[in-house]
Formats: sequence, structure tokens, C-alpha cells
Amino acid sequence: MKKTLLIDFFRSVKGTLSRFLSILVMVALGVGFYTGLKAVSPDMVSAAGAFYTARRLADIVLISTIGFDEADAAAVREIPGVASVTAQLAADGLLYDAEGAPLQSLTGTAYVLRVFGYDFAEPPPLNTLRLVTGRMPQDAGECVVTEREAQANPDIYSIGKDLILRGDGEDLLTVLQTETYRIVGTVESADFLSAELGASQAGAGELSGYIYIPKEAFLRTDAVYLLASAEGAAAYTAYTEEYNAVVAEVMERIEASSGNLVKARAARLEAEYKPLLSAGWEELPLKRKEAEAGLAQAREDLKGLKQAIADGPAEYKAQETAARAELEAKKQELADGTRLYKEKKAEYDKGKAAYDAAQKEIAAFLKEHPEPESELAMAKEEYQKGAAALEKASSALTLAKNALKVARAALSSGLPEKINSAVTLLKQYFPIGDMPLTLEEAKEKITAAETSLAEKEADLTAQQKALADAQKQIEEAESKLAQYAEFQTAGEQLAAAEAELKAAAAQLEQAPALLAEAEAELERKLAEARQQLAQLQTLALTADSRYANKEKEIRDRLAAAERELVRGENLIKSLPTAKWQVSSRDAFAGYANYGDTAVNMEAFALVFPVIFFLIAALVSLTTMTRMVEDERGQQGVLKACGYAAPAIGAKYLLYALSAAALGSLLGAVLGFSAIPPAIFRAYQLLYLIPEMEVHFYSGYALTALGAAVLSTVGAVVFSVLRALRERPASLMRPKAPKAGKAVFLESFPVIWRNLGFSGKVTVRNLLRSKKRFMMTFAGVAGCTALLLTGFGIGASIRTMLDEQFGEDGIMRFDGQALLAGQPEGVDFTVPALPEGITETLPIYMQNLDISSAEHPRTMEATLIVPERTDNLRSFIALDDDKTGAMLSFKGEGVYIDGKTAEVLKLSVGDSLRIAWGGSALEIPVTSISRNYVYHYIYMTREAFAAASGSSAAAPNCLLLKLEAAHREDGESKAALSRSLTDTAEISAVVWNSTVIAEVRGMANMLSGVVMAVFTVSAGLLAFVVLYNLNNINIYERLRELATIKVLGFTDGEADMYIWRENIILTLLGIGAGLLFGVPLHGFVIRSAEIESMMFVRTLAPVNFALAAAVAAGFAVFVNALAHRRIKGIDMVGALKSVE
Amino acid sequence: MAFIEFSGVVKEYETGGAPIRAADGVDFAIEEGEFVIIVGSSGAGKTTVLNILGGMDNATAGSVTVGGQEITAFDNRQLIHYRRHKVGFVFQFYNLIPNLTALENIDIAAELSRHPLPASFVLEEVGLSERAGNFPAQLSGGEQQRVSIARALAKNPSLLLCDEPTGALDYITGKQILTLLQDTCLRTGTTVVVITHNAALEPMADRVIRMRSGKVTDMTVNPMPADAADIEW
Repeated sequence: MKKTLLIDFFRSVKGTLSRFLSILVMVALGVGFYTGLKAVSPDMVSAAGAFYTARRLADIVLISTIGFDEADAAAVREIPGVASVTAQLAADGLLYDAEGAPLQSLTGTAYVLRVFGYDFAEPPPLNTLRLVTGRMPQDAGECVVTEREAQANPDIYSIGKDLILRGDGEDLLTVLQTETYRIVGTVESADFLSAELGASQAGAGELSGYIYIPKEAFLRTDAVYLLASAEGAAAYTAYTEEYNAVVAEVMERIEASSGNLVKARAARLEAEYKPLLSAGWEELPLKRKEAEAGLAQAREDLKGLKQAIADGPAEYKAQETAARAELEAKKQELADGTRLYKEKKAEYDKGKAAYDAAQKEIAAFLKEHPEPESELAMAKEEYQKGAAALEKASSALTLAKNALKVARAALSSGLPEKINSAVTLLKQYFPIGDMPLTLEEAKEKITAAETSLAEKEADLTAQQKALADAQKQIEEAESKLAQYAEFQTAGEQLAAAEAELKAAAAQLEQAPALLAEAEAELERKLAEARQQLAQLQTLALTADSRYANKEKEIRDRLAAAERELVRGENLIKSLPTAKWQVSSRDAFAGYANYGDTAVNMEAFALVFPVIFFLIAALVSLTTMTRMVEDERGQQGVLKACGYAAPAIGAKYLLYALSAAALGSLLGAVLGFSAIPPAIFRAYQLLYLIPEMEVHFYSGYALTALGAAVLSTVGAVVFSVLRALRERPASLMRPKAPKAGKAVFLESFPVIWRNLGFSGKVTVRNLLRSKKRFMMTFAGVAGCTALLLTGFGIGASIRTMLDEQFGEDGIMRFDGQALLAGQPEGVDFTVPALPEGITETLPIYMQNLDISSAEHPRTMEATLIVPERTDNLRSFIALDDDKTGAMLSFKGEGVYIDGKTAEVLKLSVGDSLRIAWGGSALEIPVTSISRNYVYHYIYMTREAFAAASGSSAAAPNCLLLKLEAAHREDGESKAALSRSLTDTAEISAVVWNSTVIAEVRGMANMLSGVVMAVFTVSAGLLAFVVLYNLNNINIYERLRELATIKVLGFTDGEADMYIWRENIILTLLGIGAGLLFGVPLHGFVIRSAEIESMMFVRTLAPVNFALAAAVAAGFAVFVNALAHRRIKGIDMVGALKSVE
Repeated sequence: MAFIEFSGVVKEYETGGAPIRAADGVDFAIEEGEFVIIVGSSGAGKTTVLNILGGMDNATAGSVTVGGQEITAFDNRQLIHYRRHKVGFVFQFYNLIPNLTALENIDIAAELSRHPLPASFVLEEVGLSERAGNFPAQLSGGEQQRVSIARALAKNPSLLLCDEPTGALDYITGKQILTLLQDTCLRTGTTVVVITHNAALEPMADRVIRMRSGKVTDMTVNPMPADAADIEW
């Protein structure tokens, strides 16, 4: 291609970007949907395959009616073609919460948990576990759960929680070491591939969950399942023919050997069990006695408890009185202490005052006599001296007195000598001078002596008195000193007394606090006592029921032991008919459905892309035709310049080719990466395949690219070839309008004349460009059909629930009460029910595996055998699947639902195969009834009795109808549930509203996704097509539009000039789309359905209205865009010359 | 007051850089019923005058009154109304709707107007009754232009604007068209304004307005206009 032509090409793309993009988008849509939908199936299969390989999913599953032992496993391992074998231990039990209350499944039935034994120390070769969080169990009381369940049900399955299991009618402790398992980790496992876990022998027959425990926790090593892998199967992807062939061959071989193996096992079992059984029967009375003893003990305990409760209040009273008295005594003690203290204090105060006075006195004395001791000693000395002097003076006085006496006597005698001698004597004592003395003189002298003596005597007396005073003073001082010493000791005593008092005061101060404490302690003890009393009383309230529970437990265990023996007997009896069931991976719940689902998706890969490719072709045809015609002048010039036709045409080819290639690339990238994960995510609600890897399938991409190139480039070749055959001159002239301008409508002048010029223009335009007509028509029709399908499916999914459970639906009852086991042989009577329930219907309900000769793979269904048929229709509407006519419920056969009939390829008169206790029942189909959710099959009591060969099963469920007032009121329903389950005969209650609410969330999400996908793709389709049409129309008629605007058309009239054509095409397209949408919806809905559901396959009028309205809405939107362009057209353009 | 009055009309176009003055103070007046020729070379501003007079474009400044109404003050709705009921257009390239027959093309205008002339009557007026059912592509240029004139006349306009009506036609056909226009003006009293670069047409007009560089350079009133058929170029 010449450079200038290349430049021209790029400018063309730039100048006509919206056209280029419309081709690109249509191609991208077609390619995207094709590649994406094509990739879903292989992506889903390979996601599953990768998961199966990672988890080493067994290829073959063996189930025996009598279990497997080590020898069986070894024997199977020896069969040629078997690569490895794993014996899987399993047991089913009912799940209880920590308080011992039974848990409920989503549907309200007992929560059945399957426990798998797994060798954590040495993982088995098949069906391995992968740790996700936490750790693997290390001892018998630990377990792991699947990560998915842990996420979905954290209330039950969180690490650290305990799961408590009980047998359903059997003692699980004969199978397992313990009934309590602590969750220590979460794992990924492949034992279940579907969210529906399938059937169980326990509970209501429906498995709700499963866990893995160390296989050492199993007391019996008999395996329930033998898992085997086929040699060479690992080389092939699951679900492929090759894989199935390899596995089928090995299965046949195992089947062939199974007869002998099962016989050998039967012999071993018989040898093992016979002695055990006879011992068991012997032991049974002993056990019974033991149980009775246990019960007696329990009764005794109960009595003790009751006595304790009876004595409680009196005991408490006594305790209270004693305690209160003690407290009173303590209070008295405190009062006494206080009084004593006060007395002592007064005494002390007195002493203290005396002491203080003495101290004052002593202080004064000391002030006077700073040194009292030495002063005293001096005084004493002086006193002594004084006393001695006094004595001397006294004796001298006495001598003088005597001399005087003598003198007097001498004098009286008058004898001079006597007088002389007397005077001489006197002279010794008195100063009377010398002699000669006359008598007179002597006399005088004696008288003088006498006076002197008197003087001396007085003097002595005074002296004596002074001495006595001194004596007294000394005595006084001595006493003072003694007093001082005494005072000092008194001070010491006083200090001691003070200290004593202080201590006493401190003690007294603390006393009230101690007393308060003592009182508080007392109250606390009393409160405790009261609480204990109250506890005891509450205990008394439940004592009976606990005793009853205990009794039930003991009796249950006893019954279980007995049943165990019976079961053993039955086992022995069943040994001759024992057999193995050899299954492929179909035995894993969900395996087969997943495969079917993946295959179903392929069907979509045809419908969508065909629509989009067809429209892509039409879009590119119109666009390219327009483009080629627009550039006629240029082509003429080029041709005239000497360019060859291929060189000129190459531009258009390149234009279409590059749009197609870019669109394909974009579509493939988006398709491969977006569609499979989106669909896979939706299906993850149902299947447990953890993740999907997106793949790029070059084959699909190339096919899509081929289709895209063919449809776009083919269209170009078609339009270019014609133009390029023309001569340059004619090319340079505007293309003459095609012949046959008059349209057929003109032959009806009445209509034609009344059309007005706009109408005429429109009609002629419509009919002139058939390509454009087809493109728009097909585009809008496709859009409408897609919308109708989308809304239809959305509505189908949403209304399915109402059709199934609504008041006028199929399951018309409001709830089910599950009946506690009824003793066999007792005729069923309806228990007394609380108010609010208007009607009841007892039924026997059982989950079963069903199949047919045409479809040997089993599917699950619920069998319902109503006790009565007269009021059946108030509870369940049995209507014909096709006609909706009411079916009469009678006869020997079975009523199956439409989806079951479809899957199992059964029609009225064919026989349905029901797995029943190890054997298969073949029952003819009487009628096919309408049903949407799950599968229900119905039989009359008589039919069931006849078919199963047993007496008709006792009702195990009561269908309930409520008063209208209760129907929508959750609280009154909860109250009803409580009062119902309080009835001994009823173990659980399920309200349909609960089930619906549970499913509605999922249904709404699914319908939302579906509607979003359909609406978006439909919107794109409509947008591209209508926008393209407007675009071309406006472009082509710029001049016309400018002219009519000059002529005085209003904006609205100018819009209508373009829109009218668009509106007519849209209306026609919508009409056709609504017609075409019906089969499309039917096809898509069948492909999207899963085995356990039949969507409502009819379309409601509202869906037609909605689809038409939304399609019209798209058209309005696109036209609104056109309005802006039309408004922007410059009238002056009308004056310009023709390009 | 004159039927049409231009006073100080300025039209500027913003074209990236400096604005271009397509009309730079245009002043003229036209009396009712006159056959007017606006003549000038390419770029003289005559098309701008036509656009403004035809209500297809707004003036930047100045005023234009037609029949006493100031159309430069009209809003979009009023302009549409003015074009619809007052003005008839004849384009250089006819601008017929290809998908409509000659008669139907005239109907377009007739259906719009309040007091239309019957389409078949107008078609007969322009002498094309026998081609009524033909599509534009089946008509010659002159015939198309006659349909175009008929379309303009069918609206019974008070003003007929013709943009180079003979520009795409040969000499003889052009003459026929001019005759038709002149006759129309004379018979119906419609004011006809013809825009052309061909000065040879001047003699047939009642009034000639000459333009150059966005200005009216000269205006002459012709008391004795020549018959269109007598004009040579």
C-alpha cells in the first residue's frame, strides 16, 4: 500500500472513529461471548481436574453392605489395574451444642454430621486433606473441619470450638473413643464436591456437615468406604471419555472379583460376631441391672438435692441468728472498753494535775534552794555544834545551880567558913571577886550570882528553842528532798500511764471500723448463703428434667446396646445377601452435576455469539457500504490517477480487518478472562471446587477471529467490489438513486396521501436501504430477545420460590413439625397442638436415592407418604407438570416431579428405581407433578406398603397450616415453635418462611447477576446498532437536514425526520425480539438449570413489557444523543456545493 | 420605512486567530416587491448578508428589519418562525430531498406554511406538472431548480431569497430560471433577492446592491429594469 494511501487510511479511521468503534465493539461482543462461553466448559473441567489431582481424588468408590476390613483392602489392591487403595472410616452422628441441646440444620432437621477417620500421621494415598489454617489433630479428641464450612458457619465450625456428637439411636461410644471433638484446624478436602452433601442413615436422612478426626479415635477398624485409584487414569482429565474408559475397565474387574471377596468377608464376620453376640445377649441383663442401679443412684441424688433445698431456709435462719449474736457481743465489748477508758482517763487527769502542782512547788523550792543537799549537810553540822554547846552550857548551868544551892545553905547557916568555902565555890562559877568578905558582902554576892543564874537560864532556854527550830527546819528540808525523789518516780509512772491511755485510745479508735468490717463480712456471708439457697432452688426447678434427661440417656444407651445386638443379628442375617457397590467418582456428591453443568455452558457459546456475529456483519456491511459510497469521488480520482482497484479497495479491507482484529483481540482477552470466572463464581455457590485458573484457548480465539473477519471483511468485499468495478467518471458523479423508488405502499393512495412528506421520506428510506434495515431490526430484536431472556430468567429464579412455597404454590403448608421417634407398633395419633395452627397433615418423609433404567446415576429426592389424602391439597398441590390440571392422588404407583422425569428420562408408566435399605424398588410412575425446587416423589400409604413390602412407615413429620395472622409474624411463629417443641412428640419445627429467606438471598444474587449480564450485553447491542444507524443517517443527510432547517423545521421536527425511521425500526425490532425471545429464553433457562431445580419456564407478561420498555429506553437514549448532533448542524451547510 | 433595512450590520467569525469581518457595516434598504440583485465577487460578504437576511445566522452588530420586525433581535424560535412563514429559499444546488418526488418536495414546504399555495398549482406555475411524480435524480438541473423555486413559492413567502440560482446551470436554463423569478416577482409582488457574482444580471433588477470586502460599495435603483430574457452574459 502506498504511503499516502496509508495516511488516508489512518485519517479515515480517525475521522470516522464512531463507525470504526461500532464495528470493533460488535466484533468484540461476538468474540468475547464466543470465546468466554466456550472457555467456561474447559476452564471449569480443568479447575475441577486440578483440584481432584491436588486432593488425589479416588477414581472408584466401593461401598459394601457389610463394611470392609483390612483383608478386603489388601485384596482390592491386588486386582490388576488398581493403583492404590484407601480404606475410609466414617460414622454419622447428630451434632449437639455445649449445653447438650441438639443443633438444627438449615432446614430445621437434626444436624447430621459425618465423621471421617483420617490417618494424620501418615496421610493416605487417596482423598488427602490440605491444611488451610490451624494445625492437624494430634489426639483422639481433636478434629479438623473444611475451610468452606468454617467460613460459612463460624458459629459451629471455628477453631477452638467443641463439637459434641451423639449417635442417632445408636451409642456412638461403641464406634468412637469420645463424643467431643475440639476443632484445631481447617482443611480443604474433596470428599464432597457439592454444597448438597447427600443422604445419611441418621437424622432426617440429610447430611449437614462433616469433619475429620484421627482414625485412631475409631474403635472399630471396619471401613465404610474403600477408595481406589485406577492405573493410568491420572494421565487423563476428569470427565473426558478417555478417563471414563480407563476407570470403567478397572471398575469391571473389581466388580468381577467382588462376589468372592464379599463372601470371604461374610465368613470372617460371622466367625467374629457370633460369639460376640451370644456374649452380648448374656451380658444384657447385667447391663440392665447396672443401669437400674445407676438410675437408683441418680434418684437418690435427686432426693438428696431436694432435701437440701427443703432444709435450706431454716439452716440459713440459724446461721443468720448466730452470726448476728456474735456481732452484738462484739458491739458490747466495744462499749465496755470505751467506758473503762473514760475512767482511766479521769484518773490520769487527776494525777496529772497533782503532778503538775507538785512540779510547780518543787520548782519554787529549787529556785530558793538551788543546792538543797549541801545546804542540808551544813545545817546538820551547825545543828550538831549547837547541840554540843547547848549540852555544855546546860551541864555548867546545873553545876552552877548546885553551887548556888550550897551557897544558900551556907548562908542560911551563917557559918563564916562555910560561907567562905561556899563563896570560894561560887567564885568558880560566878564573877564575884575576892575575899575578905563580910557576910553582907557574901550575901550580896550570892544574890548577884542568883540573878546571873536566872539570866543564864533564860539564855539557855532561848538557845534550846533555836536548836529545836533548826531541827524542825532540817526535818522540813529532808522531807522536801524525799518528796522530790517521790515526785520523780511519780513522773515516770504518769508517762507510763499516758502511753497506756494512748494505746487504749488507738484501740478504741479502730474498734468501730473493725466492727463495720465484721458486719459487712457477716452480710456478705449471709448473701452468699442466700445465693446458694437460691441456686439450690433453681437447681430444684431443673432437677426433675435433668433427672429425666439422665434417665433418658441411660435408657437410650441401654436401648442402643440392645439395638446394637439386634443390628448384629441383622448383620449376620444379611451376610448371605451382602454385596459390593462399585461406583465411579459419581459417588462423590456433586461430581457428576458439576460435569453436566460445565457441558451445559457450551450451549450458551452458540446462541450469544451467533446473534452478535450476525449483527457485527450487518453493522460492518452498512458502515462499509456507507463509507465506500461516501468516498466515491475519491475512488474515482484515485482510479483516474491510475491506482488499481485492489490498491483502492485495500483501504476498506484494512479498515474492516483492523476493526475486526482489534475487536477480536479485545473480545478474546475480555471473554477468556471475565466470563469463565464470573460463571464459575456463581456456581461456587453450589460446588466446592476452590479455584479456577483462566486459560487462553487459541483454537477458540482463532475460530472467533475467523468468524469476525468473515463477517466484517466479507461485508466489505461485497460493498467494495461493486463500487470499484465502476468507471472513474461514474464514480465521480453522485450515485444515482436506485431504481424502483416507488414503494409498494404507494399502491394504496389512501394511506400514502395521508402519510405526509416526513412519513413518505421515512418509508422510502426504510425500504431503500435493506442492509441498514436488517442491521437495526436484527440488532433491536436481538437486544429485546436478550432482555426478555434476562428478565425472564431473573423472574424465573425469583418467582420460583413463590411458585414453590407460596399460598397458591406447591408446598402450601406453613411449616413442618418433625416428630420424635414413635414406638413401633403404636398407632399414630396427632399430638395436642397449640392455638394458631388450623390444620395438620401427618406424613412419612424420607430422603432417598432414585434412578432409572435410562439414567443409572442416582439423584436425591424426598419421598412423601401422606397419612391422609382427604386434605392433602391444603398442604401440597399435586398438579400436572404440563397442563397444570389437578392430579388425583391414588393408585399403586409413584408421583414424580417434572425435573426428575426429565433427568431420569421417565414418562408415565416407566418405572422409577428407589434405593431402599440396600435393595432397589422398581415402582411405576403414575403421574408427573409440577415442582420447582428440589425433587419430591409421592406415594400413597398403600402403594408404599405394597412396594416396600413392609407395613407403611409411621409418620415422622407433621405438616402445619397456620392462621393467617401468624403466617407473616416471625415472633408469633417463634413462640409457636417453642410451645411445639415443648411437646414431647415434636423434636423440631421448620417454617417454610425460614427456608425461603435462606434461599431467597442466593436466588436474588443469581438473578441479579443474570440480569446484569443480559442487560449490559443487550444494551451494548442496542446502543451500537442504533447509534450506528443514527450516525449514518445523520451523516448521509447532513444536507437534507440543513435544508429542512432552512425551510423552517423546528428542532423537534428535524429530530423526528431522523428518529421516525429509528422508532419504526425499534418498534419492529422489539416486536420481533419479543417473539424470538421466547424460544431463546426457553433454551437458556434449560441450559442454566441445575439438576436439583426446575426454573419457572414460562414468561410472565410483565417480562415482555419490561423487555420492550428497556429496549425502547435504550432507543430513547441513543436518540437523545442524536438530538444533540442534529441540533448542532449548521444551516449554512445547505448552501455549500456538493462534495 | 423600507421593507428591508440593513443598518450597520457587522458579522465577525472567530477563526482561531484574529476575527474575520465578513460584513463590515452593511447599510441598505429594499422596498417591498422589488427584484433586488446583490452582486459581488467571492468573499465580498454577499452570502453573509443572505444568511442574516434569511434568519440562518446572527449579526454581530447592527440591525436588520424585515417588514417592520427587527430580525436581529429574534431568538431561535422566532427565527425558525420567520424562516418558516416569511422566507422562501432557492439554493444554488437545489437541495431537493432525494427520496421525495418533485411534488412531494414541494409538499415539504407547503405542509410547513400557514397559507401555502397548493403544491400542484405551484408546480404548474413553474411548468413541471408532467414531472410531478419524478424523483430529483430523474430531473435535469434546470428542472430541479424549478422544483426548488416551486418549493420556495409554495410557502407563499413575502421574501424570496436566491443564492446563485443559476450557478450550477447552463446559459439557457439559467435564463429560464431568471425569467421565472422575475415573473414571480412581478406577478405575486414577492420581494426577490438574488445573490450572484455575475454582474451581467444587473440590468434585470429594480435595485442593484454592489458589495466588496464586507461593505456596500454602491447601490443603484433601476427605474426601467430589463426583461430577464434579454440579458446576455
